Amino acid sequence: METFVEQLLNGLTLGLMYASVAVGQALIFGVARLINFAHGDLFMVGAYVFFVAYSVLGLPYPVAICVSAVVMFGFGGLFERVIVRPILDRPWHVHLVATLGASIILISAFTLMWGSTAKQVPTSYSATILQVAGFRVSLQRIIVVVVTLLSFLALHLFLQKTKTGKAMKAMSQNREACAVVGVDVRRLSTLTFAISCGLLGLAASLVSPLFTISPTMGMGLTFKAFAAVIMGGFGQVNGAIYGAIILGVTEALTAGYISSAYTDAMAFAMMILVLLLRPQGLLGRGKVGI
Amino acid sequence: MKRNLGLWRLMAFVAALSIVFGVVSCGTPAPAPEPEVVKETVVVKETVIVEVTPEPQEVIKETVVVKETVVVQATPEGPKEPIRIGTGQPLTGPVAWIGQYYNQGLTMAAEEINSEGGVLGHLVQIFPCDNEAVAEKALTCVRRLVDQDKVQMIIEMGSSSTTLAAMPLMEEYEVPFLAAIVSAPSITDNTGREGGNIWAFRSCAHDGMTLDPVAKYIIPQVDTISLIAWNSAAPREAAEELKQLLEAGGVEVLSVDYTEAGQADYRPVITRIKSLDPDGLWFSIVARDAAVFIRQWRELGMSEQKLFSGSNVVGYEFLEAIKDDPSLGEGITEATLYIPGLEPDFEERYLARWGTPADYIASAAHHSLRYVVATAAEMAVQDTGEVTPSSLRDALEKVSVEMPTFGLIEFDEYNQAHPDMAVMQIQNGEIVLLETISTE
Amino acid sequence: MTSARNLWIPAALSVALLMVLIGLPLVIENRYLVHILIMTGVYCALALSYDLVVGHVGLLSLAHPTFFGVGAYAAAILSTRVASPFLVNLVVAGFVAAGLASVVSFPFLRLAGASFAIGTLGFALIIQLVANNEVWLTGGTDCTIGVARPRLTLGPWIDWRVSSVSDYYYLMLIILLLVVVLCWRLTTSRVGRTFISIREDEILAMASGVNLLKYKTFAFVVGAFIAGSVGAYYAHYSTLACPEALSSYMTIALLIMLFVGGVGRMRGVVLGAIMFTFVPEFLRIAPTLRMVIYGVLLLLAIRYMPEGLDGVVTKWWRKLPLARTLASSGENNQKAG
Repeated sequence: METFVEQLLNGLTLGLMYASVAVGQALIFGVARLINFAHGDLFMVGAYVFFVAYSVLGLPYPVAICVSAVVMFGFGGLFERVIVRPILDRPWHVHLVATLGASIILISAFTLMWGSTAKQVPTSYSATILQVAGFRVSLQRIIVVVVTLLSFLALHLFLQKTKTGKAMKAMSQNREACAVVGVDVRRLSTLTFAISCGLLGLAASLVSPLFTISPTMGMGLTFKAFAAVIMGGFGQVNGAIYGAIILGVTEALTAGYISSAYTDAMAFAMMILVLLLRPQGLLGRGKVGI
Repeated sequence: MKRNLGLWRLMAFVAALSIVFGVVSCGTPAPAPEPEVVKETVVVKETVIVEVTPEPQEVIKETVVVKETVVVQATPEGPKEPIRIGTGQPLTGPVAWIGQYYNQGLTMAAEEINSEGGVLGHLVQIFPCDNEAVAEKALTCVRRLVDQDKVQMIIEMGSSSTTLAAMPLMEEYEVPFLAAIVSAPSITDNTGREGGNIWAFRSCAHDGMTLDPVAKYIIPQVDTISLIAWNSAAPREAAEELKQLLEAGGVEVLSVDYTEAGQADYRPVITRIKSLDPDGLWFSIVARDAAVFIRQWRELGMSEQKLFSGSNVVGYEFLEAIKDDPSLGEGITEATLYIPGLEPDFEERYLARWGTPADYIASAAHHSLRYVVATAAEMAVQDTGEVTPSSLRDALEKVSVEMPTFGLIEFDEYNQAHPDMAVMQIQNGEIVLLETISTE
Repeated sequence: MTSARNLWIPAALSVALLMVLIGLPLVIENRYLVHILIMTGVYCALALSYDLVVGHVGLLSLAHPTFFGVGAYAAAILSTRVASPFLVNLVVAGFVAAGLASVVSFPFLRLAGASFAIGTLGFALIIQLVANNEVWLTGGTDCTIGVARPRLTLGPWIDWRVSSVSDYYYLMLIILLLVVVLCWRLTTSRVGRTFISIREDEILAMASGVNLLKYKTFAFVVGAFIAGSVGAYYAHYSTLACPEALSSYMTIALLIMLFVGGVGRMRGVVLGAIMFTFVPEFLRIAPTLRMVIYGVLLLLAIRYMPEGLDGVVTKWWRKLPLARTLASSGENNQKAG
């Protein structure tokens, strides 16, 4: 029983990590109607920015996190202007191929710059082990959970309370109407990419001390984010979080009780199951698609 | 419209720049990528084998060094036909680091041979081919190396799967092949003189040979054990084989897990192993991932278990990855082929040349060319006066050479060599040699 | 009269092209180049079958290479375990792939657009993991190796042992021709016109009495059949089947060929397949940078060729003097008629 609870907690933290990648994807889909194949690779860029800030430049950890988030905020905007903007009005399969091209460029450029050897950036927090309610957890993991939840809260408030946030929400519900009412769709699209990438930068600098950084780390995350977004219902930020947590828990329980070789297979099988039961996704309303 | 044009120009500029940069930095086939230095002799141009060079300046520096020594020694007899060696490696993709180590080792060996005047006057040229660690691309590489680059021999294919895929084609093309790091036992199942593939050789020991001593080492120390292996051909085969050996020796194997490379979270697997509470753990995960694994292992409070590793975890790369807390690796024991620290001279030269410490792959690559292939080529020239695929093959069969660290290399009736191996342990952040074992 | 004359020129061009294709291995002595040609053929056939699904009924399946891989495994397992002949494997592999496609089409075809794409992607990843881990069936990461060389016999007249690369080249050419004819027949027939109407406007097509699900399933299954057969050829050519044949790397390559070539147009798809088999090989002159250049080229192509390669070629073709005279003579004929 204790093991089971521990596996659930493992799954929750893993799910939160996926969620921090998936919310940006959901936001981008909602506002720009775009499936971003390079999303995981942008997470990778964020991880390297953090690596440079923390390990190479030697900045203190909280400063390095901020640097990564801010740099990625700018990079996201740039990415939208250079890669996405020119093809935004084209059909969605064009988006798919264009972001795929961007993904290939990012992966190979970072391999050239940093080599394909995985890098580690352990902080002093990752070696500090705490006993929480009978479970052993590193301080770093607790930081990840707390800060990620805080960032979700901030995002939620932003979407609910601010004018821009409301416009974004409205966009994901009815894009045409927004354009008619006079919402600046293009500015909003740039801003959405910037915010999503800022979140990625934050998530990357939280999570990287626990794992390794390598140029190819993004591909798998992109797929997981897809799965989470689609389970939640396209464009639904909250849905993406639930979807991600389902994925994380499924993986942890599979590795814990069935087979560690099939964790990804079970995660995707879970996604397909959800799609079969609710084709519009967990929180999706009516028929959603492109 | 005007703005579009601007963007178009920008992207065209970037594309042009990257193409120019590509040709300059890699400069293999371009007619004259090097400046004045090359013009003086033809020999020099052919010795430039630098594929993975950090900075262009270094290329030129290297060239100068090579030139001086070559000219002195090679002029009396004039330039001879070079020996063309191909290698298939992942140079892009998730495991590109394997190809990088491999190329650095081979390049360094070729530079050393050439600076001593080549093999009886024949200089050595390296032709790398990116196989992306994909079987299909490995086949393309064999065709390219043989038909386009006209190599006389191929060293390595980068991984066990690509090697297994490419071997039938290399046999068909009658080009000798030397495996120097890949350890799946099945590679030399059907090779050698008894009606098998006579073109393939292996200078490293395979897991079938190394696991026996490993199992004998583990059995007296534990009653129960869990196994974890990277989900790739060689570690997987090794885990299955080890399980049988350990069970035959009376050790209860509680679990066998396979993980994907770059897998981020091992906590669920470790949590399960924790609940099984084994006496020991054997893990075969590449060094960088192994560092992540061991951190999470310790995070969950596992300290009682005896740790044994595969995949050359006990090495500089792993130590580098845990340098913030060396106690993480305390007590990890591995029986492996390469013994870090045994050849300080080579390790120093490697570090000076490439800026990274030599690892098992680099050293095996370097030694296989420097000692095994160079010796075979020398014999081929003495016997037949020229280096052809078949003369090289015949010579390889008869090779008998003392290789530093690895001991005597001779190929048996399966074209398999039997290098020495060692049992090593991490103690206080240092690698300590416990004993040396023969794999005969 | 007019139509006969207008048909005559493309027919002559096709025959000339075929002659060139037949003559190629006789001229090219480099086996490596012939190998690249064979791979181009494999990708052409695959891309054409993929285009049936994507370009003609508008289903962006990301599982197409899965059917290719499943076909390759079916042929490899048959050949190595029961030593069945090539032609049998070719057909069985096609049916295995088609069978799998019709099973998964039930749940997946209910999904719309992006959900369908990601759903099939998930399916593809699951199948790849199965190939990786079910060692007893697939050989796992060691691949299924030792697939026999094809031997084609027809009574006492023909006994063709396919062994050299040019043999394989001709075998590929035959298969490619069959695929081209099949795809051409399908897309220009009544079925094909229905396909297009579905792609253009599903609701309108449904309103005019088209059984959407039936046609979509049909395209999906036929596409999978072709992919599976091509996979069988590929297994016999490379003498192995590996999990990588099922990986997302293939999916990406095919997507690029289709969308850069010109989706929904046979000529464009073929052009895309040729371009994107040759470009990466050509870029080997810059081994470390080649993927960066590849990505940049891809972005430029998608940005500045909205109609794909096919659109560019059509534009150039129209500018050629020959095409102008052809077009004007056609108009004159029409006026005369």
